[in-house]
Amino acid sequence: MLPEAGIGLTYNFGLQSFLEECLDHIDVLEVEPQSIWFRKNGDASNEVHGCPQLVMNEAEFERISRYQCRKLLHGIGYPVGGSIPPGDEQIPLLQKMIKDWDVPWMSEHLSFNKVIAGNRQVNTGFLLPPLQTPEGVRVAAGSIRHMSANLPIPLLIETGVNYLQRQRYEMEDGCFMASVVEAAGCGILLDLHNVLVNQKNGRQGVREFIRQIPPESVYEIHLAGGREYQGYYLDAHAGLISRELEDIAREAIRMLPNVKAVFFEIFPTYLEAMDNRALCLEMDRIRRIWDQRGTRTISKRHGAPPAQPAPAERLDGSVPSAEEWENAVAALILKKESDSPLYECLKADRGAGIMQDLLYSFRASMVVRSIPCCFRYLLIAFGKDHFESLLKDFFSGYYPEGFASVEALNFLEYLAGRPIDLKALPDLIRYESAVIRTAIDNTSRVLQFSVEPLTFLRALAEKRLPAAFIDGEFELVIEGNTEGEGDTETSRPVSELDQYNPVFHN
Amino acid sequence: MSDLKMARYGNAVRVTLPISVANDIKQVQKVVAALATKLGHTGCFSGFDIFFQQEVEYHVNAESLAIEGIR
Repeated sequence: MLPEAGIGLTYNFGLQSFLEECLDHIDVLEVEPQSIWFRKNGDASNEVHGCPQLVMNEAEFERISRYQCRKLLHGIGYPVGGSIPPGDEQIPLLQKMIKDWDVPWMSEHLSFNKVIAGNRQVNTGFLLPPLQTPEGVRVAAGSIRHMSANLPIPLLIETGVNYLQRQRYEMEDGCFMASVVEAAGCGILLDLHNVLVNQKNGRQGVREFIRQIPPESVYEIHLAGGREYQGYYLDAHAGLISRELEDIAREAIRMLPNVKAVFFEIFPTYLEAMDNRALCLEMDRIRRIWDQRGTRTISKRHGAPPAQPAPAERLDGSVPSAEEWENAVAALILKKESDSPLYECLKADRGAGIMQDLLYSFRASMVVRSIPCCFRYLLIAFGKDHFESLLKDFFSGYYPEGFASVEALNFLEYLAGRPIDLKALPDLIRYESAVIRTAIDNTSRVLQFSVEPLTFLRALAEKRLPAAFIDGEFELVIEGNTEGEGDTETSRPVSELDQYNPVFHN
Repeated sequence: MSDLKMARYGNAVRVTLPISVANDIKQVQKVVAALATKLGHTGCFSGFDIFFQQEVEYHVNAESLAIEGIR
């Protein structure tokens, strides 16, 4: 029996002000564990037996620990819907968080994000929909059991978004979820916004979906806001929940006897346009939904019977295997060539193009967040189109990375290998690489600069170029939190920086 | 910014930038947001991340701002 957790928010760095001032408006915080982990040394080279070394962002962990409320975990990097089971390298950190925060359950996505390319696993950069056939049920159940075996707490699986149309050999969404839950013996995180997104984009209706899943297995609900994009409705976490979703949530939660938590998800970029008061009001609105839980439950699954045998088993031999499906969907979103007939079939689905656009927005935003100086310098110097041509060329040659640090370091490596004629760009590339690495390992680094660095960096911070570059021989020390170089001969406060005389170092 | 130090070091001028300042360009503008919080795994959503678009909106005409010697 899981404990009642109440209503809460899915944590992100944009919520700090709200959590410090308005924590009493929520009961529980849901943390995406991988979002506060680093991939050690920030790159793929630091691996043990082919697995990346992961370390905790201790500052974030401590900050979240200080919030006096219950915490749950919601996995994002190791989905359980594919034929490649989630990697075990995450388990030690998960176990630490579960123990330290006394977490009663956690959740993961019924999706996949890894395929084999050449002789290695690559990340798709996007949670992709699994194949909804009996084989898909078996491989997902295997992945769920694999992960569950390493956890001391129950694992729920989340209903995912699927921008593709259902294929004729696939099970209905609700039946597929019900079959996986039954085969794996796990619970459900019912993301009602995801299911609504699917309905609006031509897949199964929300009410039909809910009728097909076992109501007693739903322990958690997610709610969010969406937005339109090129005729599709996106799971954008773009603001307040719609009235339509509120009505659906109120109706659904009455029929679900075991709901223990309801979370509101909002993306940090959209939080900038929402003040704490608006978020408080939204949480109060969600609490009114929460108060309706289980008030109209019936003992058995209502409406449709449990998962029917998939039509796949009654059709011809053209049903793809889970691996074929995953490879075709991944190739499609990554814009890789494939001679698979399934690839050709899926290519005709407009949803594939939508997913390509979304992946591009993810990767571009991840790069820009992580290396703001190089981005701004290139943008100002060359313009948007040229910068985007660099990004696209990079994306075509490098697979996506889940961790922003790795994606950013890969882009810096790409930039360093390009013949870009731009004054002091190599200095800036080394600077941002060092900042990322120091943020991860707290080790101080000394960098050579061929121009005075602070004038340069300050100008970029103000979204402009410096009035003039001051040429010379400079060193910039990025200090970690551990003991640094400590060998500077003299020092003076930054207030004197503006009085800096270029002749000083000639 | 008060922790920032400058010193002569051999022939070079050495500037010491604590990671709390260096790790986000916005810090230089006194806006506290740590890059470290953004280096982890990307979050759970399947929508459009508008951050890149927003940043590009600050795009400045290259010709109007280009300074001599940059390229």
